[in-house]
Amino acid sequence: MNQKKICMLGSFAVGKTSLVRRFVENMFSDKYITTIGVKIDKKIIDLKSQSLTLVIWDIAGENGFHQIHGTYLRGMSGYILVADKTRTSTLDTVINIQKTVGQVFRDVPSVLIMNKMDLTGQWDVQESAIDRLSQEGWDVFRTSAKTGQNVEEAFNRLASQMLEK
Amino acid sequence: MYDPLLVKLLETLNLAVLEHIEDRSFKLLSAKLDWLPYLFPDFTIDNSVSHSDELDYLGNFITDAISFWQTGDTAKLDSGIWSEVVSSGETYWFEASALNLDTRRILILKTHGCEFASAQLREQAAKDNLLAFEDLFRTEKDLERYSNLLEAEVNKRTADLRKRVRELNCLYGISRIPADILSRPGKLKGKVIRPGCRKCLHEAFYIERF
Repeated sequence: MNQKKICMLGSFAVGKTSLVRRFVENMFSDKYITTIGVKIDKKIIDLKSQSLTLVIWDIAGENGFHQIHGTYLRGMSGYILVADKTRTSTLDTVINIQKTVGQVFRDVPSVLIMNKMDLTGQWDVQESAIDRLSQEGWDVFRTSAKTGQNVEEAFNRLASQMLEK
Repeated sequence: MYDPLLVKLLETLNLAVLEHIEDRSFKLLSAKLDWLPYLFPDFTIDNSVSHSDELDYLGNFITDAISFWQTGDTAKLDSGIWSEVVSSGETYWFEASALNLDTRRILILKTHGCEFASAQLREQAAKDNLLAFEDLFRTEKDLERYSNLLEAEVNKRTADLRKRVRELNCLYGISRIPADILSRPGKLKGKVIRPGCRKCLHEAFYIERF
C-alpha cells in the first residue's frame, strides 16, 4: 500500500496533537496534554481513486528547551506547519522552522495551519500578516481543531500535493 | 544458551535486547515480551526478525542505528521517546538504544510505565508555566497599549477643553476661567469659576458639558 509520512511542526500548545486527533479520530478535548517525543498515528484516506496511508509524526513542539531532531524529518513526503491564531510568537516560530526545513527539503510540499480560529475574542495574529504569507506562496488554512473547521481540507490538500510529486 | 537469571532480569526490567544481524534483520537475545510484537510483528521460530518499515519511528531509528554501528562508536545512541497506539487501542511509550559491544551490534528496546508519567507531569508543568508567562507578557503588553491610548485620549480632550475655554474667554473678553484650571479632562475646579453674574454661570454650564 502507498504510504506517505507527514510531520507536524510548530511551537508547543498550538494544537498539533488536537489537529491530528480531529483528523484521525474526529475527536477533540479542551485539555492540553503536552506531547513527549514523537507520537505516531496512521490514517488511510482515499484520494484520486487510490488508497493512501498517511503516517503522521506529531513531533513535540519547540519551546526553547527542545529543538526538532533533524532525523525525525527523514523520509517525509510533506509537512504541516502549525501556528496559533491567539499567539503571534507561534507564527514567528513556524516562519523560522520553514526557513530551516525548507532549505533541506526544498521539494517537499507543506501547508501552514493557523489554528484556534474558534477563539475569536483572543485573536492576536494580524490577518494582514497571514495574507502576506499567502501572497508569498504559503498554502494557508485557517482551522479549528475544536470545531473541525478546515482540518480535513488542510490534510487532504497536503496529501494531494504529495501525490503530485 | 543465555543465563536464565539475565533473561529474567531483563524481563523484569521490561527490556528487550536484540542483536543486529544484517540489513534490517535482528535476533532476539532476551525473552519475547508481550509488547514486542507491536514493534516486530513477524518473529520466526528461531527468534529472528526484520523491520522493513522505514517510515515509522523505530524504522527511522534503525536507519540511524545502522550508521552508528558501522562507526564502531562505543557510546550509546538513544532514540528519544515515542508513542504509538497499538492494535488493541492502547497507547505505548517506547524508547530504543543502539550499542556496540565489542563486535556485536545491540538494539535495546523498552516501554515506559509510571516513571514516564512523572516525567510527563514535569514537562507538562514546565510548558503550562511557559504558557502562563506568555499570557502574562501579553496582558502586560495589552495594558501598556491601552494605557497609552487612554493617555492620548486624555491629552486630546484636555487640549480640546483648553481651546474652548480660550475661545470663551475671547468671546466674552474676560479671563475669569484660566485655561490651566483643567488638570484632568472634564474636571473643572468649581472654586475658580465665580458664579454670580449671568456670563459666568453660562460659561460654567458650557464647560461642564464636556
